[in-house]
Amino acid sequence: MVKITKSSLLWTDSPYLYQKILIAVSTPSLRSLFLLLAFSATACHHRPKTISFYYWRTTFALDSTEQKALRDNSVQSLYIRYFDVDWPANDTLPSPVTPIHFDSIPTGYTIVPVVFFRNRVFQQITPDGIPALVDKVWALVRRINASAQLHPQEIQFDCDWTDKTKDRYFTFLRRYKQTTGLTLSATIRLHQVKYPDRTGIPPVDHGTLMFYNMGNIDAGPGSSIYDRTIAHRYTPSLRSYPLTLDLALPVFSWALLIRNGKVVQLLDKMNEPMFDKDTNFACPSPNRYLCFHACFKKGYYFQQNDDIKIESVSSDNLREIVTEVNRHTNHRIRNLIFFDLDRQNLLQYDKHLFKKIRDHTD
Amino acid sequence: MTNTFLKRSGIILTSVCTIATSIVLACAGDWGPEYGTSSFTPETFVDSAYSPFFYSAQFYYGIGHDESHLTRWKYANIGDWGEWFGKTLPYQTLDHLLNTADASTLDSAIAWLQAKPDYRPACLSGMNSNPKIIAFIHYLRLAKKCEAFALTPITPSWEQDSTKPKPHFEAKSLDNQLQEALNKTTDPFLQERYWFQLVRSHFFNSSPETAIHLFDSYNSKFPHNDIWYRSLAYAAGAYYKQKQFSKANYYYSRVFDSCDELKTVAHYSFHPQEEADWQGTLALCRSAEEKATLWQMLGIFYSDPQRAITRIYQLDPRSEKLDLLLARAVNIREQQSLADRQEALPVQQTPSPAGDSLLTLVTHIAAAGNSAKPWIWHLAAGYLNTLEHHYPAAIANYKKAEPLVPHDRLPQAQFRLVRLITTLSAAPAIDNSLEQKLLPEIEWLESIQNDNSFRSNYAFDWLKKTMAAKYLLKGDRVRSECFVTAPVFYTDNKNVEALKAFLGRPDKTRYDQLCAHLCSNQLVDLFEYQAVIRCLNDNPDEAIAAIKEAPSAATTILPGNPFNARIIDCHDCDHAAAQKIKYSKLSLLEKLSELKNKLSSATDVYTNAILMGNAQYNITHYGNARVFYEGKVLGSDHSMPESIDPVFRDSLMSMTTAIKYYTIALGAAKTDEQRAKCQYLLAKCQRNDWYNRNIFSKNIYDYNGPNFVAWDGFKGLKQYPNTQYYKEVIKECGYFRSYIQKNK
Repeated sequence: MVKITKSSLLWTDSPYLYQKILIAVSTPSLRSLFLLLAFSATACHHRPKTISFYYWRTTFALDSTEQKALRDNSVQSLYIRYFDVDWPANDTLPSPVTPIHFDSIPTGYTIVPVVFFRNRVFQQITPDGIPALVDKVWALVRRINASAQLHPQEIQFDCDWTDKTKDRYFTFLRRYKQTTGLTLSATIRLHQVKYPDRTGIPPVDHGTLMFYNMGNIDAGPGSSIYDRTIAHRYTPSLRSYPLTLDLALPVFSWALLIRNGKVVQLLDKMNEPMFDKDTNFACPSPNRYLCFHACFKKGYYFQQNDDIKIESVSSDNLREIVTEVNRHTNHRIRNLIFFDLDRQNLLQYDKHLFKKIRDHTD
Repeated sequence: MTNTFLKRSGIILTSVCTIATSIVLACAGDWGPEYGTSSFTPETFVDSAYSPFFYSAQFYYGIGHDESHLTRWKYANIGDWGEWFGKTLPYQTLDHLLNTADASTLDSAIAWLQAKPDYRPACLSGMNSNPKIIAFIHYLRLAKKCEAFALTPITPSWEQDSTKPKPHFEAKSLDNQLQEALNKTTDPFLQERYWFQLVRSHFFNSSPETAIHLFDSYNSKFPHNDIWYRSLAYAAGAYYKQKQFSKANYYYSRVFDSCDELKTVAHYSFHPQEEADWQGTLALCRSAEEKATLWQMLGIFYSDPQRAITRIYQLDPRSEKLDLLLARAVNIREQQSLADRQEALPVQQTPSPAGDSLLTLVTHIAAAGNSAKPWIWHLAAGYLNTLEHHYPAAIANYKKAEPLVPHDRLPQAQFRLVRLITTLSAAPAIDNSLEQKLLPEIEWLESIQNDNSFRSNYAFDWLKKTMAAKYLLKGDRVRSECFVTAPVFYTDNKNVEALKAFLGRPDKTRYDQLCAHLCSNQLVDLFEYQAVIRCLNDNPDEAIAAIKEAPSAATTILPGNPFNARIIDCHDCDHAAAQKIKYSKLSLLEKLSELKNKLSSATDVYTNAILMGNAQYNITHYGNARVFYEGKVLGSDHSMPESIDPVFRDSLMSMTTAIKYYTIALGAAKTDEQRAKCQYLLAKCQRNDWYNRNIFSKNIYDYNGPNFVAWDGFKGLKQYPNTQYYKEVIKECGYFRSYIQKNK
């Protein structure tokens, strides 16, 4: 068997490069050899996986717990949300939402900017408007890069696109690649893995499989972050998904504020210990709290009789996810990215968890 | 010279968190007014200073967002300085100096005041130097410098640079000058302004302690005017920076209560973190009124009006702060009850879980009669009872409200409207007595539909739907149609004739005159509709009789020649083509009648049948003369079959009559050339019929099935390969070409 090294031309995550090589290698025998090599590369090369984190706050400043987590897990890359792009109903053009501000400079890490698009941007944009959007996004990304003296070589786009918006989103991605020459990655949701014939394969160098936010946000007993039953419906499709994938895993929690049976607010980074010792709340069942004295808490206001449902992902859940992904990906998961780097999230888990999950991933 | 929002660096969840927006929008729907399905107008009884906080799908009612931070104080400043000058300085001069003049103008002004007459800026021409002018210009020079850190212009979103912290402003020298001026001046008006400038400068450029200390040192010296409250807001911000949330929120509550211009700023900044902060703020209050303000803010900002009403009512039953909370509580309840409601009758609604407790509270306060405006509590109790379907209780509430309702336009209108809603909701069925009772009310409601100061549009829409539904239950289709038009009504010609008889009756009662007036489709529309349907059903003579009763429709000109047919349909080409004869709807019908007569007498059957077939094809949705069928009843601008009402699709898309005449033509054809043409024109009809049956009737919008079917007409045309027509079809029609290639 031919040994493939990381520096070899054939070791690549880029589907574009595969295509170019396949076209270049025209004789049948050489093509067979190439396919054999490519297969060998994906099937046998157990490259050590790295641990990364998403950083999703609007001001970049790490506290000591967060810095320690990065060091303990030998983190080399950080995926930092730069800004969102939205197109509110009454506006005439899309606009950026809360660009990040760097209070401190993230030195020593490979930074991958992440830009989140509300799908309605691509519902409303016309094909003629896409070049201008590319220019605006690229200009703002460069301005943010300059503000923190960063020189990223990759950018990730996050959009829950659909069959109705895929053409315009993909046109945007192609044009962005053409304009900037950067490595492009895109988040891939489970429904996009299951129905690639409808939603298409984004024209990017690799994808990041988002293994969270799969359920409905409602007052029912299930979790909107991770639901095993729902996940099982989608994971077999991973086997045939053509993009190389990183795996994004949830380590966040939140609470749903339920009033009169309807979810009225998401309470960011609220977890069970915050309610357990508060006498304004009773805990009628696991993960559920009932407010029987109206009160303020962590900047949120709770009315009497409000129902609070805590959603989080346990260490066992994370192992379960990785086991499930292992079953269907045939060693094709590249790296792990945890969502998201935040003291509140980190404190929920044993500090060795991230490495354990990494080691559990094929 | 404005106040600014306090910036709070928040944590956001974006890709993982988009629910909050959708919840807010869902409250009022994505279309329509920002107050959604409301018939309860806050402007009727709530102080207009609270209007940004009226319940709305927007962030702030009426204004969307508060973006006035650059201009908020423009006119107040001009007014204040004008008063101080004893109105000796013209408005334009003050406006220019305060809002437009830059540092160089002020520098020249100071030189002029220092006895250099040539330096006098144009805006001060005609002025004589006096101590007040000197003091004003010196103040202005320092105040303008403060704008560098205090005012942040709104820039387009893609150009905003939030990536960098605000540049540090070296304020030491400026602060010293402000302090010096504050110490020196003896004029309280100027002193207060220097104090404000310095408090603000400390807030932005120094430690919060410095700002608080300066505020505390002088605050008792000045009257509680706008400048004082602006200073208080910066002191609140300084406490917020120190995370002394109780004190910060207490100060914000005083700003909210006493300074209308800063209500939105106080709202944006008021933010208790923990229950202890909130209790601490309550403990700082010096009076029941201050506590009532806090409860009002909680009730508005945190959507708990019932708790707030309860607490304020305990503190002071006559508090005006109850008004806004009552309006919001009722408006929220309306949305819960009425949003997304498809059916017309409120009796089919599910009572709101929160509704009962609100109703109990409002009823209690109404019954106690000790509020400042008992009438609105009775009225609200009546309306809430209606939403809960407790009609006798509602009527009892209105009886108590009636003698108390102020004799002003809006209160009287509100009372009349809710009573009308209750009357109609409570009525099990419509009878003559109810009609007579409602007659003046419906006339009134219709007459105020363009009055944007009062919420009546939803109620009018609801009333019409409810009346229509009740008439339908009673079997009175005609009056039901008068209130809400239903396309299905027109599919039965008996209904059309009945409506014609109703509308045409000369001796209508006043109530029936109202019904006829409200009816969407008037007599001419019905005649036009009948003319179209009769023509499509191959009855041009009867169609002529009908269209003559609709003169305006009769003379409508068709854009293309309806007697032409193309191998590939092209409406635009037909419309652009030169036309010797322009057909109107009437002249088309007359021509069809003539052709039909010729066919009856077997005159030139092939030619006349082809012309008949072409015209019958073209007046359907597939043809070049859609204008022929467009009207009030059938609708217009049907760019797609889906835009035709489903009950009319069969009529407007059927190929039956066209096929009938093309078949007659085929039977009468004498040459292969003629037969080839008939076969192809029939194929077009067969194709359209196939679309009708397999796609449009099934509402398939994303068709992925076979796109080629071998129509019988193709098979027929295949028999005439030597005709010129066959060759033209081969040239133009790819489907036929494919068919021939596959079936050689």
